[in-house]
Amino acid sequence: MQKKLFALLSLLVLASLVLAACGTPAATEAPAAATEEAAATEAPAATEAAASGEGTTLKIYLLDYTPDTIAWLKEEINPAFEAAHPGVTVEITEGSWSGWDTTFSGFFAAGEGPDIINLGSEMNTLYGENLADMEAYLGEGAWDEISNFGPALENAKYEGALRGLPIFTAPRYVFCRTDLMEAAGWTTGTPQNFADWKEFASTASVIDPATNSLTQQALVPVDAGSMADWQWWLLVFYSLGGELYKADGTPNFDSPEALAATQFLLDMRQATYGEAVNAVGALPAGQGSVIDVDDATGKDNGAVCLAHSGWAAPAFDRPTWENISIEPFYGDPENFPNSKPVVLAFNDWLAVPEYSPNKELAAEWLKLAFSKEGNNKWNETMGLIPARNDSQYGYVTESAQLQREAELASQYGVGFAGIKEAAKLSTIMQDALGKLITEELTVEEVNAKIQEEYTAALGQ
Amino acid sequence: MPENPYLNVLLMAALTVLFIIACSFGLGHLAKSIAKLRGASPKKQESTFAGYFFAAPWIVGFLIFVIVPLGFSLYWSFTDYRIASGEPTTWIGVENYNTILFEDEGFRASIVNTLYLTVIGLPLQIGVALFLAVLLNQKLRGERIFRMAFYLPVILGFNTAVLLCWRLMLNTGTGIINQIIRGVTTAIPPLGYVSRGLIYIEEVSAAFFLGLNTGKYNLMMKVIEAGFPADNRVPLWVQSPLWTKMSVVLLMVWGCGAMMLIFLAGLNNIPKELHEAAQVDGASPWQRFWKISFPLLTPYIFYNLVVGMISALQIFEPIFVLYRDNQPVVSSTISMVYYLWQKSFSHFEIGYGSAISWVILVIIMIVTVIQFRLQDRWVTYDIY
Amino acid sequence: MKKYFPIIKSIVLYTLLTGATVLMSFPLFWMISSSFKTVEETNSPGVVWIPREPTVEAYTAIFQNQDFLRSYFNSVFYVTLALVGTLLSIAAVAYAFSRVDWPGRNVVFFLMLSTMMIPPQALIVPQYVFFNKLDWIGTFNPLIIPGYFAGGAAMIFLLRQSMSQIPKELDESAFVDGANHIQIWWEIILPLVKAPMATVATFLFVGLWNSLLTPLMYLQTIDLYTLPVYVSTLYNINQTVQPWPTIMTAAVLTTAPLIVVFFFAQRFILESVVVSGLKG
Repeated sequence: MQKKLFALLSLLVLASLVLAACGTPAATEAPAAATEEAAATEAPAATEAAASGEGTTLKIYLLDYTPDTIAWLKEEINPAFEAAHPGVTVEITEGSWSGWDTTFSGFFAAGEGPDIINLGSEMNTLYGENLADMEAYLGEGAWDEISNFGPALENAKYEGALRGLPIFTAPRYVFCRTDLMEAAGWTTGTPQNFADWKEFASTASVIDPATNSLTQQALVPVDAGSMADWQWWLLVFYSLGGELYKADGTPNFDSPEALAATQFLLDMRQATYGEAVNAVGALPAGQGSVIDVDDATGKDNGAVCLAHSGWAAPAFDRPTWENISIEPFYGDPENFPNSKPVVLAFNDWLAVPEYSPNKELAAEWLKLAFSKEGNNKWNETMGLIPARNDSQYGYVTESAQLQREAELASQYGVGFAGIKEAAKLSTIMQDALGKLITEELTVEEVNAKIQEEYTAALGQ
Repeated sequence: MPENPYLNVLLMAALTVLFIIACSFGLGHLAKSIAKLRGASPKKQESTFAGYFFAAPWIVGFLIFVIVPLGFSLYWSFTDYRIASGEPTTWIGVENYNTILFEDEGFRASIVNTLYLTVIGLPLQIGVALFLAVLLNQKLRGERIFRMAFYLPVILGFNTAVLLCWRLMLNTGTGIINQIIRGVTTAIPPLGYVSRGLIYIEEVSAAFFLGLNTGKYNLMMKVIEAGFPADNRVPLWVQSPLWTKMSVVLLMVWGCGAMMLIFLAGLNNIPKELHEAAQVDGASPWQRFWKISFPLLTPYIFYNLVVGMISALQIFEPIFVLYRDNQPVVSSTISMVYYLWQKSFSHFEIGYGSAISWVILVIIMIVTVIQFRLQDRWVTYDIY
Repeated sequence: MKKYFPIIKSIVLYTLLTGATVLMSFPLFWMISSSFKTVEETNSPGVVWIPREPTVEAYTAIFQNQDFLRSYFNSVFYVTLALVGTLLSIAAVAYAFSRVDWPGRNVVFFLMLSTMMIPPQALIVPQYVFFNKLDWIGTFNPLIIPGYFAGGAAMIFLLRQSMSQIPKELDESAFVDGANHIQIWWEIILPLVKAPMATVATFLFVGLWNSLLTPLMYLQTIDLYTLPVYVSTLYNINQTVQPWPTIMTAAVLTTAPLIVVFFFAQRFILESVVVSGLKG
């Protein structure tokens, strides 16, 4: 008898659970709110009639922020937005860059997620298909302030249509320690053509025979150890006036500029490290800016020049800045008349996915946070250069370095956008360039390999 | 559902327990009825009920969390499903499998790398574990502390902080490991020759494996031509493609504590009388080890081999944290599962990635089955 | 000479053991040492074994860090909840495989073992989509609930081996006395496998505590982060200077519970591995 009761009870429980499970997704709101302020409402997805939004939540997923940024957004922007749009709550999720690809694939695979997501500059082609066309809300006809955005805006477009707004522009400059250059006997300043770079590399790099490793490295490009990073290659390539794609859209790795760029990478590597078989060790693992001085020991961290973004350079209040120059990368005008100085700019941006049911609301929020003052404030909390040209005041002009960086960016900035299948290209190039510096493949073989594999990856 | 995440999950947990109990009863009764239909005795019916009742949690979990996802994965492996591409998924049959098995150089490279780790790393791991277990078995004082120290790496696990530590320590110029090597070889010159010889052998074999990846052996030729290394040469660890795999092997050996515990248990199980009798007969410790201990340890070696092989074939974390942001050397050390991850999450080719995961699964199964078949040849379960 | 042999042998053994210990515990030592350094010291190109001016500023700072404290709590919460459920269901399933004879037992057992061979990365995307349909993304649920279904084939295997060692007479006499399976399970068998259960609990604890990828995927907001996820966010590529002492301090505090737990549990672990035996 007891057993039968048990069985009946369990069947009942089972049935109710099944019903509950079916009902749950439709009925309840999604997971617990992230912030203390947001009392998340219990509503199904809102309709496009967002202005009358009854209990809608606008979800924003951020990766580029500091605690100050979040504080500012929650104290000023969100309340103002919520006041202007009654019934709407803004929810900010503070994510982390580690594992971003797994997190984002989750959103897109599920077809659900935040209404605004924080993307990196090379991701416009990666996710472009699944991002909403925001021209109707933010484009020229709809928002006249859009004309104030600088070249960084290109990064926020896919197939000609705007998909979001860029937050900042983080270009890569060539920072050089002028005092170390002179100490090494190099008097002509930042090199302005390939021949000078190679000579500089051999003059200013020092190998310690006792440990068979570098104690001073003339140029640390993007990724310290290998000197074979694909972004470094792109910087050199663009500075020669190279175009990544031919007129018919096929890759252009067999062009003279591409071969010259690869050759330059090899030459620089060998001028610094010597032959591959010498197996010279790299500078100590990156801790602190490589061009800075270590306070504890009074010694330099080992690099003379650094070709990287501002965040790899020392903090602006460091005394070493008296001896640091900021220049673009000049290319090779002697051999390639189309050369131009280049600062390769990474422009992170906020995009609106296609799956979002709140596109218009999202656009409104973006307009608020990316106003002239808003863009300035956001970047002030992060110490970066605003994407809006008219936001480059205040802290930007007060810092000599930032001002110089902003000037160079507006003059020579080249976006890191429009690269098709960026993730695959990165893998293909890194693989091939890795074999370049071990001298496993020759320059021609490397380029041929990249050309072949990339063409296949593009499905051509 | 409550908003508070803690209450939410507590509630869900309680509901789950109820759900499981319900399933257990349900499954048990179902099994019992089937047994009844097949004319089993009442006693048998009872045990059928009990068996399924207690095993139900796993069975249900298996269906929900393994079979269903595997089913999806199998389905996707026959399509060209890409996340975030906006294009509809189309059925492409065995095209993914074709590409993987016959055309994909990247996957072939990952198999070769994983093979290296298994062929070179696993024996080293087992050997060191055995050596340490024998040492600990000598019944010295302070045994507990040593035992804990050796098991520590397994506890620490491959978490971010520890792996970052390793990156610091493996730096070529200033890392601790190389400093110790330099110190020791300068103090005792003959060891310097040994060290350089080992470096030479390692580089040639690494270059050989890299050659297997691409089919070109010019790197190996270069290394051989360069001859015996100079006297200030030290391993390059995480910096050069020739050393990346050895660094991973180093980490594998460092984490051999679990295997060591198994061996300790095995050594403990050997009856003392056997050793005492042999000693009376005048056998040396060396002979005693090889004739008595070793054969009786074979079941344990087998266990470690099977479990270790599965682990080695699935290795992912160390490579991920050590090399993720040093892209140029990744291809020299990419393992099968890392390749799977790269295709699925970096390149968003879920269809292709699913096919890869099935290929890996089949490989692991085949290897394990072979090991089980071979065990009759060399594993002794009862010596008397 | 022969008299000295044991002494020489001891010296050699101790040297080897100490050497091996040093090599094995090096990272832990480094972590602890670095957590007491100042930021400048860790950034120096040279190697500093022992900090010149040990400072606890990293520790005091981290104990005031709300995010860190909360992630500590989150880790404790989720691990405890998951551990209890997983342990009980593993005990139940192991009982089924070892003490009860039922049709299909061998097939199911083999299936269970073969799940060990599935690379976890293969299941990630489908499981994510599944959990998304349940609206469980951004909660603790995906981390805890699957364990309740006796997740972890190796642990079931271990416990099953231990349970097999118990003489069948105990069950039979209990049956004769009129007990049913549940009573036998709870009152007789479980108390007898305390040591292996402690072992399984320890292994589960270590796995759950250190787990990084699953929490990273499913807990998307910083207030839910568990320790490993939080520590990984401390290493921010957007910063020039990594706060090494903070990272190392967090790492030390993360590993401390593991060491404590293992210290107490190691007796059980060895005992149960011995008892369970691996023959056949």
